[in-house]
This record gives sequence, structure tokens and C-alpha cells, in this order.
Amino acid sequence: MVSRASLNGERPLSPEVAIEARGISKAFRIPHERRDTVREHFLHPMKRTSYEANEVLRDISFSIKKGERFGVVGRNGSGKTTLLKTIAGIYRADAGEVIIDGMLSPFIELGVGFNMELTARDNIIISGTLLGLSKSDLEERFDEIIAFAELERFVDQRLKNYSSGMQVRLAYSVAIQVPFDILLVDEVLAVGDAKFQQKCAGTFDEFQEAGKTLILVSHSPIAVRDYCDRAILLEDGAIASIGPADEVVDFYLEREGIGPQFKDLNR
Amino acid sequence: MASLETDLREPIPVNRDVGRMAQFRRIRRLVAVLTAMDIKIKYGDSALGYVWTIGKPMALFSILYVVFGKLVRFANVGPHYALSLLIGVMLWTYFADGVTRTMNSLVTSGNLMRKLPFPRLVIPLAASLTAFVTFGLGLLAIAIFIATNGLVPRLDWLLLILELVELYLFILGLGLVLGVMYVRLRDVAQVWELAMQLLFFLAPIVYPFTQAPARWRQVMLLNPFTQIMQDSRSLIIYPDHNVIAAHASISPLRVLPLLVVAFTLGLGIYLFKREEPWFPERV
Repeated sequence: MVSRASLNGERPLSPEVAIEARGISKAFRIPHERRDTVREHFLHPMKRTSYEANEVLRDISFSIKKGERFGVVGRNGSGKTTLLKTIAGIYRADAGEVIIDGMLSPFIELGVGFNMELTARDNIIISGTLLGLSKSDLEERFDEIIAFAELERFVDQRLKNYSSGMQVRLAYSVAIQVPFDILLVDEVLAVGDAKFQQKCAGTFDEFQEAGKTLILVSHSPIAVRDYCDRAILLEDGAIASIGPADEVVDFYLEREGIGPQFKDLNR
Repeated sequence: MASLETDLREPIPVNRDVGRMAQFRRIRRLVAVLTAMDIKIKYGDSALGYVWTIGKPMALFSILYVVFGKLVRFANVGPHYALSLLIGVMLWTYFADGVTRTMNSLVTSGNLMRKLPFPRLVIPLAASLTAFVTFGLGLLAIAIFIATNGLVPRLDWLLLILELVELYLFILGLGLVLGVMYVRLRDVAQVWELAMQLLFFLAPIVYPFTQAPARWRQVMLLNPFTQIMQDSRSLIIYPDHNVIAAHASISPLRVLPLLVVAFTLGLGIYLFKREEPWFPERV
């Protein structure tokens, strides 16, 4: 649960905007030779400053309206997940700001930070609490979380005995049962069986009816085209294209040299 | 299978403009949940979980008692060497376990921090509280020993609560300082392991405090652990000896360990707040 409405009151959001990114940049400092031990610091004291700044996001600006379904496409390593994490407040941007109006539920890298040594029940309690559910909320919603993930028989098994698909189902189920206005979804459609994918798609429709905002990151451009109103294409951390989802996706597919005959393969 | 209609109700309304009290309650709940889970993980895979918690320090105590109480006999030990040693060993176990847990907690929670935004401070708070709960069992052992030593509880033993609060704050402060450093530099764990060996013998756990040269005792008392341990022993075993509260009026030097605790905690919180935004990408 994140609620960071108008971080600095200078230019407040207009009321119909849910998320506004204003020129955000993010770089990771990567030492050329990773030196995590004192010995290395002593052996090569002069090499200390040889960092390589790996710019993952470059001057990203966009604005997402409330109730909008917004897609993010791009190759592996183009900055999609970093963008989501910066929006969620997990990473701090080096420059620019993200302004959010509403409560946000993140489902990033297919998880909500589960602990493999604990049972599904305990993990629901931890993640649910961290995402803002009170004790009574949790009790009230526990059965629904389990039911949506269809894991009734496995509630008291430890997650290390779960298949990866089962873990993802559970994580997504937690993420959508916490109170939120904005949902960040990273690649949920790429995993899980066909039935669960269909179920997720169904939830997207319900969120839209309820006026909630959705940000969907996907390797699969088809998913973004099908489920999103607008989209951005990220290339090396910069916005290469922004606009209606189908146009952005077509642009992306052409740019990647993928012909139209491929476009429907992922359906 | 549940239908979608029942799955996705309106969110439970949460007051967005959370006040300080609401924020405090939320953090308290997060810490409580994480502590409970820490304890669960700790004992999850062991058949004798709780037995180990008390068994390990008791084993350490027994070894030290045989070596230093029976083989090496110190000249000027008081009448309750065993109890004195037990108090020292239990406090030490709590201190070492607490700092180590708090230090490790950030690095071991990397997965959580990379996926969810939440006040990161709850992680070291939960780790240090897990150590405190574990120490509760150690207190039980001390209580049994006190009873068998024929000591009668007195009202001023309530001052022990203050000593334990001070020890907790010291553990938290030191754990924060080391934990923040550990995120950047993985040698910290090795250094801390060695430092623990040193600190164990720098503090008068196995030998009587009076064994140390008089001029060194003031210096040794700068270590808050030594001060807390000596005060606790005095309170329990030697009621005629004065504790810090009484000494403060006599010798202002006796408040120095309190300043060390305050400084350590302040430094820990400062470093934590400064580094917090970068934990997810560094751990």
C-alpha cells in the first residue's frame, strides 16, 4: 500500500490523474570489479571510483488517468520492471518525481515477497499486512485469497513445496485482495495455466468497471494490445513510443522485425 | 471455485490521510507479525526448538562454570559465583544473538524489500524483538537459579526493567549500525564475529570485575554491556552495592555508558534513514 499524493505541493495533480511521472531517471552504480570485501579495498584503494553508471531509466515522463489501463512493453532489460519499482516507491529515482493519487498494490517480478520456509497461510498474513490489511481485513479476506488462487488443499504447506505457478497464483491473489486504487502488474499473464490467465484477464475487466487504474508490464505485446488502452514502449530506458496501445504494439512489432503473421500467435 | 464477483469487492476504505497514531499502529502491527514469523521460522525445522534456546546458553554456562568455577578458581569471587556467571552468560547470549540477528536482518530480507514498499525499519525491529522473546526463556532459567540460591525478590529488582530497556536499545543501535554497513560491505559479518570473541572476554562475564586492575574498571564500564551486567548482578545478588542511579550522583562517569547507548542508537537510526532508499538495489 502506497499513498503518496502530492509529494511536494508545487504542481499538484489534476483530479483525473492517477499517476504522473515527471522526468524520472534512474541509474544503478555498477563497480567495474565488484569489491565487497575490505581486502580488495585495501589492495586497490585507487580503483575505488571506477563505477559504471548503468542508466536504466532516462527522463521518463507520462501521465496515467484514473481508470485507465496502461501497458508497458519493451525488450528484456529495457527498464520495465525498474519503472514499476520506481512508481511503487521501492527504488528512489535519481532525478524527477512520481506523483501518485491513490493507494497502490504492487505485483512485481511475479511476487509479493514470499518466504519459502513458511506456509501459504503465514505468507498471506505477512504480505497482506505489509500491503496494508488490518487483522480483521485479513480474516475476512483470507478465504477469498485462497479460493481465487484455488489452493484450498495446500494452505498449510510450505511454499518451497509449491510449484512456481502455484506461487504466482497465490501472490496475484494477495495483491488484488488488498485495498487499492492502482494495481501494478508485472508479467502475470506469462505464467500460470490457461485457465488462470483467463481468470486474470477477467479481473482486469472488473477493475476497469470499478474505476481502478491498471499498469500492465508484459513481454507479450499481444496482451498489452488486448487489455490496455494506452501504452509506452521502452527502449534502453527511454520512451520510444507512447500512445494508444494497438499503435504502440504495432510499432514495437515492426521495429523488432516481427511480421503481422506473428501477431496472433500469442493468443 | 469462487466466482469473480465475490473475489473483487470494493476495497475496505482506508483513511488515506493517516495520522501519526495510525502510522504508529500500523508499524507496531507489522513488527508484531514479522516477529511472530521470525520465531516460527527459527523453530520450524527443529524437533527440540525451544529446548535449544535454553539449552545452548546453559551448556555454555556449564562449560564455563567447570573451567572457571572449579578448575581455575578466582581469588576474589563472591558467594554466588554460579548465579553471577549465569546472569552474565544469559545477558551475553541475548546481546550477541540480538546484534547478530539485527545485523543480518536487512540482507536476509532482500526479497521482501525488492517487491514491496513498506517502512523498512520494521525489519530490524522485528529481528531484535525476536532475540528479546528468545531471551525471555533465558530469564526463566535465571529465575529458577535465583529461587534455588535462596535469594528473596525485592522491590528494587524492578530497576532491572530499566537495565533491560537499556540493553535492548543498545542491541538495536549496534545492530542498525552494523546492519547498514553489512548491506554495503559483506566483511562486516566476519569482523563482528571476531569482535564478539573479544567483547566476551573484555566484559567481566567469567571473571570477577574486581579481578581487573582498578584503573581499567572505569574504562571497562564505558561498555554499556558491562555496565548493564554489573548493575543487574548488583541488584540481584549484592543489594548493598549501588547501581547506576545511585552512582550518578556520586560519579558523573557512571552515566557515560548511557551516553554510549544514546550515541549508538542515534548513529544507527541516522545511518538507517540515510541508506534506507537504496536497500532494495543493494542487498
